[in-house]
Amino acid sequence: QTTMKLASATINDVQHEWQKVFAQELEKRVGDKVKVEIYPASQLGTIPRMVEGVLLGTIESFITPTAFLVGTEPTLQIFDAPGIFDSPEHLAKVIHDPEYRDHIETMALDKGLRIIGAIYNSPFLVLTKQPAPKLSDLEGLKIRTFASPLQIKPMSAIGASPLPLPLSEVVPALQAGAIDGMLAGMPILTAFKYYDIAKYVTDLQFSLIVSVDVVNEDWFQSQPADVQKAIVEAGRAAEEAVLPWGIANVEKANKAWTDHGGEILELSAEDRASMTKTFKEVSDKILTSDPKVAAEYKQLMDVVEARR
Amino acid sequence: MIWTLAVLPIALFVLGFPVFTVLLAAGALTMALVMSVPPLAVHQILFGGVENYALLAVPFFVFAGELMSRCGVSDRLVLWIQSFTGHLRGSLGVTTIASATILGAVSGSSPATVAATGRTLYADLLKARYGRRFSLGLIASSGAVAIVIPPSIAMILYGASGEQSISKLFIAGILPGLLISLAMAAFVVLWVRLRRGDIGRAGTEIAEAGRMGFRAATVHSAGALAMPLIVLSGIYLGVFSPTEAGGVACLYSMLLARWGYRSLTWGEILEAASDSAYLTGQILVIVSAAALFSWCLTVQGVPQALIGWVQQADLSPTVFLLTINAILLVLGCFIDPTSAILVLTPILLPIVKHLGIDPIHFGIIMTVNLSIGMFTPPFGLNLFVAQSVLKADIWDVCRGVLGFFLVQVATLMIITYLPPLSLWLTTLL
Amino acid sequence: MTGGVSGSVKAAASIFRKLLGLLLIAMVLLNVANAAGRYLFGKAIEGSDELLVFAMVWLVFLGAVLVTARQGHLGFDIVERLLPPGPRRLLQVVRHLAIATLSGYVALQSWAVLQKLTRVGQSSMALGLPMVVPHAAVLVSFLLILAFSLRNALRPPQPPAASDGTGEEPR
Ligand code: NA
Ligand code: NA
Repeated sequence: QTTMKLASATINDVQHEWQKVFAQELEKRVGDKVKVEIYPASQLGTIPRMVEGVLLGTIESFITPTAFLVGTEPTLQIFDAPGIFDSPEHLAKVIHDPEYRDHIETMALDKGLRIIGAIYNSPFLVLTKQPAPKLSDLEGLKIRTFASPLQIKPMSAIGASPLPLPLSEVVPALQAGAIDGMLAGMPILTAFKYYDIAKYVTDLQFSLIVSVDVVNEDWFQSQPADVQKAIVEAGRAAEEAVLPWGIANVEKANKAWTDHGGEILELSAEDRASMTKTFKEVSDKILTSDPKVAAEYKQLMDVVEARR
Repeated sequence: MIWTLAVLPIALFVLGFPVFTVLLAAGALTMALVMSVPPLAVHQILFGGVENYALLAVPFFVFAGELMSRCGVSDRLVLWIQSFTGHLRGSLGVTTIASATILGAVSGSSPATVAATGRTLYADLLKARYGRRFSLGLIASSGAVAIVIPPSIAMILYGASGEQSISKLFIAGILPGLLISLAMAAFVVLWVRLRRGDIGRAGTEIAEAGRMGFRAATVHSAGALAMPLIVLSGIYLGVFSPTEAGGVACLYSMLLARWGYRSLTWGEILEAASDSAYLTGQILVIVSAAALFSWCLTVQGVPQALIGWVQQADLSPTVFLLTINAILLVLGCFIDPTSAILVLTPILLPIVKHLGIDPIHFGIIMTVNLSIGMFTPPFGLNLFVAQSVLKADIWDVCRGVLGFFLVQVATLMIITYLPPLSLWLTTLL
Repeated sequence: MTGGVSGSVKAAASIFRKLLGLLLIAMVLLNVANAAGRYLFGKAIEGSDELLVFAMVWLVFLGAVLVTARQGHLGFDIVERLLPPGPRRLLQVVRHLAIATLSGYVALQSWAVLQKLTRVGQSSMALGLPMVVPHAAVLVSFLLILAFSLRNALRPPQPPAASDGTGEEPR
């Protein structure tokens, strides 16, 4: 019997759901040959440590938004390009396109990571203390982002001040006014009760988060052929199964937000067009600077267009 | 598992192995012998234990405290406090507590506070006939409040290992810290009255100087008094995070020491920085090894098993907190707060959340418990510092702290069962 | 060990201490500059938080080397103090050797991790710095801890060092 530790930074969200369904699907196929242990909520360390953990084989598997794997495999940032997906359904059609899905599985193989799960996570929203229904409202606001260029540069481009800040300090910083808002998905905002501090989110509709589950390739190769096959199948079965769960969970989170007195604002068509244009210029520049990333980006965009 | 995670570390600890090697050996051996984890994890988790933004506040507050205690701030603060307590009977005793409290507000370390108040006040306390034991006990125990009053290294470690807001912990520590000091002061005044005689009455140099007048004394010590105000208002108004507050406190202390008081040369400032690097290594290498140890506990399912046990025993939060207080007080006799917080937080916090106890309130309870542990015999840094700085007999120090121990435990009970005392100020943030 | 060798070890240690002090002062300045930039101009220094954390990792592990050299690690020495001189010295030597072994084990794992990280080319999120740079602090420091533990085992016990100017062990 071999143990497979599945790690993630979040809990009770679609990533955690994928882990649970994966465990069931795997058990269906190989019984107790593989003992799956799930460690949500950063129990095994911070995100960078979990990434290294899978790389070094101390953790067998880790599920995360693609943004956190860019330091390992730069091509994975293509999924963060703004404005590529029209809807969660469109996103799912692209990443579950049979041929492209086979390609995704191997995208980080050079680095010793096999992608066995690829799922829709949630849309990126911007949370603000003051309502920001217009693009110009965001100018000069201090917005907490991840330290990834595809979040920092677009935010700067529309005049906001992007500030990477440790998650534990976000709440007091928001309360005290050290920052004016943050980029995040709705399930995270409701899970941590952000409606108690800031009431407004603006749905910029610029990016949908893709999460992937990676396993350590050396560990994977050390498994017997039937277990390898079962892991790949269970991963894909789980990603099909959690899509409706994930979509419903975002809706549930949106409802929880408004039930607690929060508001969800949308940009005018005009503002969105101008924002999309700005974001595209910025992201194209980032994504074409490395030929390998540029090639992957083109391949993705071909599927995106074909599946629209 | 019980061998590598309990018996071995206890044996090594008793044999005098440094705490970080105790945790490191226990973690590495558990991984190699019990778990099927590649040993590379040892490096990875040691590194990860320290690679944490919240921990940056530790070297910063250590450095700020070192600078403050070297640039003559404590003398000025003592003078200031004497300027309005000088007329009280028992004023010198009260001054000792007040000095520890205010020095505690510029420093995050309890032994440093003991050293500073001890150097400034011990001789005067003896002259004023407080007696050797009482004076030593007073100095060793009043310094404990320094880790309850923000800034606090213990709180930074709790916040970092439990993913709790350090800003909130800092704010939550203010009222409990003041309550401890008030209780101590009340005890001293009462003790002086009950003993009659001439204790605390004889004039001393400091008491004389203290009559320079409140206004003059305030101006004289304004530079030092500004420090806690800068740090706390900066956090309160959202200008900076606790880590940045630490950085600002260092820069401020450097400027004050170099150009304000002109009491330190650049060479001496560098010397303070080097010693702070030493202290940082001493504390945070334990943090690193504790991360390895608690990783093993987590993956071996120890916290989950304990939650199951608490569920089965159907403990109420009240009984749970009482049990925890008892355990922490006993543990505090033997191990230092750094190690205790790092090993216990990951085990206890899931239970705390499960029982619906506020994690910030629990952080304060834990800090107060361990601050008491710092001066309870046989093992307590404050005891050893008092012993070495004041050239005292350890036996006298141990006897002297007894009364103060009882006062602080009584205060601990109030802090434990009156959550608003800790949480009220944080709701205003 | 000859006086000359131990003299040059002392000089090197003193430079090492000063460098760590300078590192800490540099960290303070960067941190304050970042806070000021954010508060006054609404702009953070990109990647400064990451750089500060990496600097702290080096500061901590190298600091632990200094602590090992001066035998100043926190521990519980009451039992040891109760022993007569002979057994006490034996316990100390065994302890230093055990710590040296443990450090060697950590350094070995560390070496393997560094090789792997180099192969993958793992880089940091904000600055794109090779992750080998911060990780190497563990390897370098534990090798030095190994060396100093061996020296501690060979050397008769020393009175507490007094290089901090105050004549006392810093707390
Ligand atoms: Na303090
Ligand atoms: Na103690």
